[in-house]
Amino acid sequence: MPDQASPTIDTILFDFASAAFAKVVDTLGLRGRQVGEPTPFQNDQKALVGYIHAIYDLLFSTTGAEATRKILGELLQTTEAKYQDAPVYFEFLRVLPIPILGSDQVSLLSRKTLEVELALKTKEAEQAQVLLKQKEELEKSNQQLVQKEQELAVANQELEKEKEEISAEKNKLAVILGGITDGVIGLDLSRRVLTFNTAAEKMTGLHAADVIGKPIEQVFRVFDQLDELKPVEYCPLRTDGFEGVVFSQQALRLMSSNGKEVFVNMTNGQIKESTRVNLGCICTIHDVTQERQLEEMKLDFVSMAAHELRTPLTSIRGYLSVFMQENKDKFSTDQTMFLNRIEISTQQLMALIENLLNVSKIERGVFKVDIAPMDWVPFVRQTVEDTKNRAKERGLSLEFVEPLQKMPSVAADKLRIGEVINNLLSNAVAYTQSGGRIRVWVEVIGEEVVTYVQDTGEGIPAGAIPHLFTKFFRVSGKLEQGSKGTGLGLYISKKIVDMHKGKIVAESEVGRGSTFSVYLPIAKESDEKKQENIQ
Amino acid sequence: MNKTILLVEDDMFVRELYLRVLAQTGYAIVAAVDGEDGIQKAQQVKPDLVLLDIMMPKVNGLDVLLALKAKGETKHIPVVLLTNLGHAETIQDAFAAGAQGYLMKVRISPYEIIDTVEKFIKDPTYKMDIKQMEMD
Repeated sequence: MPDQASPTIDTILFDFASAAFAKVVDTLGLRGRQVGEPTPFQNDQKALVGYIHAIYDLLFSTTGAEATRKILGELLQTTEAKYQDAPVYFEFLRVLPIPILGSDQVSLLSRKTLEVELALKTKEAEQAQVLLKQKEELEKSNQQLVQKEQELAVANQELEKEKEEISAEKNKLAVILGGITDGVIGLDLSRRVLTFNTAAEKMTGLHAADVIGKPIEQVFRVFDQLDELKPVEYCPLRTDGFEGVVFSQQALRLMSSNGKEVFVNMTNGQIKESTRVNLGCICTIHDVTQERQLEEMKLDFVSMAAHELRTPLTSIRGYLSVFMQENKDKFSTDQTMFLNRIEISTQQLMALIENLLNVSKIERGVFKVDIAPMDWVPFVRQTVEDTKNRAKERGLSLEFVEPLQKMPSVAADKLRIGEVINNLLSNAVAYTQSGGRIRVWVEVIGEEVVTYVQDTGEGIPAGAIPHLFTKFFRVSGKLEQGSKGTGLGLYISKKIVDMHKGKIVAESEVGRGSTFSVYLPIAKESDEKKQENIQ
Repeated sequence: MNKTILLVEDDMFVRELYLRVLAQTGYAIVAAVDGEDGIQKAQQVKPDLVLLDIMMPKVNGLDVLLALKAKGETKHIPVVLLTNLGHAETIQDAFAAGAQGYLMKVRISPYEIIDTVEKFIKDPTYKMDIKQMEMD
């Protein structure tokens, strides 16, 4: 017996078919037997349905529609009573010949069909729901994708911006490198030149374009005194991730491939990322050629400046002197005058340089006098003698008045005091009219020897006398005759005399002339001894 | 035997001027254009007198002087400083190292160099007194 709890449609069909066969045989007798006894067709629902329809057809053709419906309807009542609770019962009803179904069965059948349709619809709806949900999810992920795309676009923009910034940074670095006054040379890991800045070009006399990519030893050679330093020594390429200065040395001689030599301080560094960025070594070279010359001589600025001013003046004076000597017979009067004026001017320029140098020394307190006893009269006599030609040229008489008594030695620096006497004589010559007279004499007053330089010149206005010995003070007058003084001579003279513990005095009367007096201390025994000690 | 003078001067104008004037002496004049050249030429020609500038590129005059005085073959050649440097200490150092004369170029006429040259050719042991010289 089929399981009551869950009869299959086959069970129900077989049951019904068996009952229908029995009924047909009962009703039609032998004739009914011709349809044959039903067999339990395993899983062949179609065969069973066909069998049932065959019985119906037989009954219909023999007993008519009404009887057939009645016979099979009664059978159906029995089957229904037995199986109506089975879930598949309505499936069974569906395959039966419709005329045998009663109104109850029809309504059940249509209800069940509706239910199935409804279930189907529900399922479809559910599926639609799922699809909708999937669609929503797709849309959502699509939105997410769009958002991601936008984010990527933003990120891309930022990257572009960063790229621009990096490019700007790179340019900035290039400009900075170019602007550095020290030579900066980047070497790669095989010590080939990567970068070569403007200062490096200037120092070596080489062009970056010609040296980039070349091994450094082909660009310049480095010497410490006479020993050559090899790249492996000054650019050691440490591999331990070291960052900092790997080499530093002063006063190295750099010899460029073009033969140019320069003295440099070299400082070479390395960065941690060296191997990753193929940057072996960063060489910084500082030109010390000039500094080295100064350093070696321990020269001060003023000495340097004086030297630099004298250099072109040497050429001017030298060539002028040789030119005048070699062509002296060929000049017209005008030409001779012009050349003389050039010569006088160069002399003045030279005097100005020397005077400025002296002023600078006085003001820095390094102007020194080396005082020793000196025989004064012969010195003054000689100095006057040396000026006589100039006085004569200007139509002046110049005379040293010999003292009547023996004069003591003075304590003085011969060179410096000579400048003072020369300066007074030059002024007298410059400011005295042709036909005038200059007299020089000496006398002892107390502990001092006084030297007078007197002229019959224009004289100095009383108001100007207090300013005579100040820096750059000049009395303007028609007698200067274009010979421009520096306004420093008397200033320096007074300083020199002061350093001798002496004094210098000016007396003058406009139209009658001027007298300058220089007071110098008489040399003492101790001065003599001091001098001996020095010797 | 003709005498040889070595002029070590880096300034071309001054060098050519002095060469022209010194030619009047009748001595052989050899010129060097810087200190390094000066040392080399001194060793080559073994001059009878060296006229030496001080402020020069590569090797300055003081170092040239030291190099000449350090070698037996050039040790006895008199050296006259012919310079515009007036720095007293430098000049004193040079005299201590064996320089025998000092002329400041800007203060003298080129013809005055001839007098000095003759003085040293006549007496190679002559020594100028630096006490008599004006320095910066």
